[in-house]
Amino acid sequence: MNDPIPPQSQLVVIGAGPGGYSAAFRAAELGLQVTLIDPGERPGGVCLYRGCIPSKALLHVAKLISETEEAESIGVRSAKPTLEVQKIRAWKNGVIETLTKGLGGKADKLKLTTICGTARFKDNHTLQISTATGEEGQLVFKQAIIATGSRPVLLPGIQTGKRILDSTGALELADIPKTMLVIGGGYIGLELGSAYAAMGTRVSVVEMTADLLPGCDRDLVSVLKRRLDKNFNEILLNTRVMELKEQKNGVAVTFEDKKGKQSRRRFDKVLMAIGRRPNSEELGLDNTSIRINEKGFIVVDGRQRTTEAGIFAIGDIAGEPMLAHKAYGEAHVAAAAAAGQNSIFDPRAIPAVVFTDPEVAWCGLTETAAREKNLKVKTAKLSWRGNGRALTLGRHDGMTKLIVDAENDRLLGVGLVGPGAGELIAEAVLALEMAATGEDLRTVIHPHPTLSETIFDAAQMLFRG
Amino acid sequence: MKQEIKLPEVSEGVRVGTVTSLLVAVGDQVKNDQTLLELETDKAVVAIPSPLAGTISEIHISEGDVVEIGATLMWLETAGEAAETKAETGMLPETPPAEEPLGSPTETETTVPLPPPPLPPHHPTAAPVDLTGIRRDDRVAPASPTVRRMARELGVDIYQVQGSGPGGRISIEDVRAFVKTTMQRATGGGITPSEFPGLHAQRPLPDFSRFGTSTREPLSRIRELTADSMSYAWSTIPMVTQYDKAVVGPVEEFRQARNNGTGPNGKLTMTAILIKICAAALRVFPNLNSALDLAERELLLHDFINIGVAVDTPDGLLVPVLRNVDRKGIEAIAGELNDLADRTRRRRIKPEELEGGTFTISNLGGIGGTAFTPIVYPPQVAILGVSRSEMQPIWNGTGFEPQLVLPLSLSYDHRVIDGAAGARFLRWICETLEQPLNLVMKN
Ligand SMILES: Cc1cc2nc3c(=O)[nH]c(=O)nc-3n(C[C@H](O)[C@H](O)[C@H](O)COP(=O)(O)OP(=O)(O)OC[C@H]3O[C@@H](n4cnc5c(N)ncnc54)[C@H](O)[C@@H]3O)c2cc1C
Repeated sequence: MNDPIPPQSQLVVIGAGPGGYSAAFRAAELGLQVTLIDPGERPGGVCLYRGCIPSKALLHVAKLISETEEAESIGVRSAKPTLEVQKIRAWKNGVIETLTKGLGGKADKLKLTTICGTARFKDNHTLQISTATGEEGQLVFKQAIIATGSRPVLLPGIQTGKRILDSTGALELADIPKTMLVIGGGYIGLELGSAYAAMGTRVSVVEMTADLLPGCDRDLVSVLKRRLDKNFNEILLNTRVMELKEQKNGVAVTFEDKKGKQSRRRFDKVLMAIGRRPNSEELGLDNTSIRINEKGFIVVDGRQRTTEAGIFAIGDIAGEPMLAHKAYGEAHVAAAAAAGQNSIFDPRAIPAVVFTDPEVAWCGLTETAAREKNLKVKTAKLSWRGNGRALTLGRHDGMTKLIVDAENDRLLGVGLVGPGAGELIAEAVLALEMAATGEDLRTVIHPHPTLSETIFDAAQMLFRG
Repeated sequence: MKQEIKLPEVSEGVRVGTVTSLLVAVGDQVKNDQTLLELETDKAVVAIPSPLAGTISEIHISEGDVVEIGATLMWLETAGEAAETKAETGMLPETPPAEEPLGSPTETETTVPLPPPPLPPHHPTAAPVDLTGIRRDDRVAPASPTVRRMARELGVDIYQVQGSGPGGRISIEDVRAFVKTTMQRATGGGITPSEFPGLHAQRPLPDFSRFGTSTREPLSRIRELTADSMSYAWSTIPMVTQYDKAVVGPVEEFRQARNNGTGPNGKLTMTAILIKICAAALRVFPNLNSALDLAERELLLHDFINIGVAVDTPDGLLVPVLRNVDRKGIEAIAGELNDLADRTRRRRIKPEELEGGTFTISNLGGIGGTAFTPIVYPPQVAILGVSRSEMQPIWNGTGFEPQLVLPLSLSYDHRVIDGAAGARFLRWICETLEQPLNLVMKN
């Protein structure tokens, strides 16, 4: 990302995360002349530098550790693993480098103009650009795609520091603290908390609401929670963090429980994972007619068009769910629309995966939503206890749930929990997109012995005889 | 009223299960069918629904308990009056689910439709705003991405398409059928002749097995083509058939006398004579030797006269064509006809010998019959049917005379030929059979 600022561009893409870079690539493939702007050294955005990829690298480390422990119980003993933090960090950064270099190479191959810097709208056809080297310039565009993503939300009045971290800080893996408080029981908090817990940190999780992973069915969460209860030092539900004070030897935290009772504790480090906020404030949107909603997300239509002609928005900036694969999908729609094609963002299902151990994954309609809407559905829930593959992996914690329309057997949603659930969910997404029925799922031959057979077996349960 | 709720049979062979989650508490109002608890058995986790609507008054189990089938789970206080209970148990449909879309986590307030933003200035030809992302139903249209894309490209609202697959799944064929019926409604059922699938314009067959056995036999290619072209002719050409008869005693006498002594190839048939007479008649009435071009609003008048002759073969009807018959003598025509007919019956005919006809003769005289209505063979506009000649009493002004009479039928396309023209044409043929000098009166 080091080209000079061109005077004009057919299509400018602001932000080079998964949304931005894939929109830029796709548009270039469709024949548009594209400029891509991001403050990062190479394309990648949150996902590669401080999101999906580094977190999954650390979770892999966690998996290796917990597997050596599990191995012992089935008769494979090895020395207790010791961790070389510096080497782990270097390996994680190496993964990021390989992937971002690949993206940089693709940008060059597609002859994108890439600018290292930030952009702001001056009006509906001009961007004010400040490059990383301090250069200022203007760029006139015909069309623009906004993909500036999101950033972590912090508790009011709190700043990150050496002991108070957000997800970005936690992923840097400065050290492995003895104790850590994770504020927030969402997927980011649970993933990072699990990684640190496996590496030896005593992790406490505090969550304001009554349960972990909002939006996910309770029966799936309870399977995960059974294991987290063992791995984490404690999980405090219905509890608020009232105060955080960074001290010399730790962070003093004041909690308040449901009944209003306060208590004080000290942790070596605190990780704030209470949510993410769209990066829409610094974009100069006031100089355009682009609308944002009360949460700060840019309002778009089915083609990702904003309320300003010729300007699109995709990825985290364009709304929930804030997930990289949603950004990819929207990127392709916006790029095609910018190239004059009739495209629309109309997926039947966007899968969600929590990469904890066990993993939780779901897509389509959840059982909770079905109940709330009073839909006539049939569900099949199958414990993995009887699945051969799960047992040969030394595991039995898992569940596969299918939700079908009670009237016509059409698959409406799938929920999974168990090791490897994140990979298994892809079949469910395909099934939903293809409008499959329970009959389809129970007829398709699934390989034996695999975890995917739980989908087949669960589908069988929908039928009598 | 207080009602006991017991653990029902969950599946065959299962005697006990573990309560994994209890989803209600004392004092909760529950609906009929609402899940009360989840039970893990050695086969599966099953949801145990409430059999009735009411308020939970007692709970006898807790999470982690192992319970046997038939054990008391809880007690329910149902509404007092019987009538009310019924209304509350959910037997009647609830109010329909809210308009709010659902089905995947995509529906957040941010995907709510907006007033369409104006089109970018450099896209003057871009299609009008399409907000198909809006879900009108609480369910999504069951179609694969490929099908949805095709619908979008055709401008079809997928939500209006009725799926024919399992679970209402919409296929590419369903979208096509939707476009077709919509177009037919829009254009008043107009279809282009070139794509008329005569064979397929048929209603489903009844179940004949109710009446007895039938065997299925594949259609020969000839039968298939005949079915197609005949149903096309029948449904697109307004046809008229006229009947006339000619006294053919003298011509027949000449013919038989000539055939005495010639070999089979030189055999003179009534069809050969009729071909020559028709050729001459078509010169006199050129409109019958034409083709209709409705699209161009023109009539194509052919300078050439090629007459097809229907030949009955074991596989079905074929119509070999004799070219430029107006320029050939009857003897040459007879020879050519015999050869063509023979080769046609033996399926030794070349495809091009079946093409290019401008008029057709179908002679069933060899078999019998007094008259029939031949069907015009498009794009021709007329066809002559010939039945069996017969001795008939003919009034000669003073008395009846036995005469050999040949019945003729002429079917023609009334869009091109009027009744008077048809009658004159057929009359001319009859008169010429009776007075062959007609043939050379004009040239
Ligand atoms: C710890 C963590 C783990 C995650 N794990 C997963 C996961 O497993 N799976 C998953 O699907 N998602 C995951 N996510 C979410 C995922 O990272 C985001 O959904 C995704 O990165 C969003 O992509 P985006 O293109 O919208 O924006 P981003 O990736 O946020 O990229 C936006 C880019 O725009 C740049 N930018 C901002 N303002 C400007 C400006 N004015 N001018 C120029 N550039 C600008 C930013 O610097 C950034 O590089 C995770 C996130 C975190 C934090």
